[in-house]
Amino acid sequence: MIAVPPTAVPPTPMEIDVRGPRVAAALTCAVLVAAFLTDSTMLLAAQVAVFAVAAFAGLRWSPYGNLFRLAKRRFDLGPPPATEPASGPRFSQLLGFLFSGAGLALILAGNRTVGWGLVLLVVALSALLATTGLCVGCEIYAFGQRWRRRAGDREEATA
Amino acid sequence: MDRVVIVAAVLLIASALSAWWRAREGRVHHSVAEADDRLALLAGGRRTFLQFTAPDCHPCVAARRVLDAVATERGLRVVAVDVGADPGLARQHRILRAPTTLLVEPDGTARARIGGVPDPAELRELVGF
Repeated sequence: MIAVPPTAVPPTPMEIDVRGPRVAAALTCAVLVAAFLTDSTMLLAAQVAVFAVAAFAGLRWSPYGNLFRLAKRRFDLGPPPATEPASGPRFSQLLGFLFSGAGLALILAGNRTVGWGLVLLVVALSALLATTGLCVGCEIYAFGQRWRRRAGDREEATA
Repeated sequence: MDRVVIVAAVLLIASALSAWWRAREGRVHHSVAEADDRLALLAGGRRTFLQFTAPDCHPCVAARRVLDAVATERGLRVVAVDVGADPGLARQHRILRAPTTLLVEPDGTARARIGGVPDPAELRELVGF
């Protein structure tokens, strides 16, 4: 019988490398800062599109996620130190889309102060994620999941 | 130039939040609480790390690894409670996020609380020898 050495098991489709969201957050921060400094709605629109792809098509299709995977292969960054469920980071992308999308809409409608204010909020939260790994969107998602479970349990109890 | 100043201010605020978060994360906060029957039941007569967890909680996995390592060294138990499954217990002990860990004595007294992934050195110092 031929002994087959154990092979590393890649993350399941619903699990992602924990480094990925931080890299994406750093890129997001850089793009949005550049958009603000140059007053570029085109650059802002591009970032909104990136958020939309990740939120609606899934993290597998995220442009920044794919850049990170390319960099991992090209520079041999090693296996993931840990993996995490994709649901929280994907929800964060949705929040990023909503806030930056609303910012873009307001800017185009003429309300530049509030519009860019929303964009700068996304800059701050992206910077926080990139530097500390703290994903505020993920925390909101987890809180929402717990709240839904409690509501479901209460419904069952009263049924 | 104004825009540069605004961006710098935003990034400074984010840095301050980042520093505050890093300082808090995983630190031991000592508490004085009365013995609690429910905690005593969960402790099962031993000093216990009671970890409040949640599904999809990635830091909970990292926290559990640290707790298991220190518990094995020092002869403690580790018990996990899903905050969604037992919201009453979480509310009673003001658990606002997962992971949060309580060090529970055999009589049900919560001696300390740690939010996030515990710092192993601080945890060892907390439980002593």
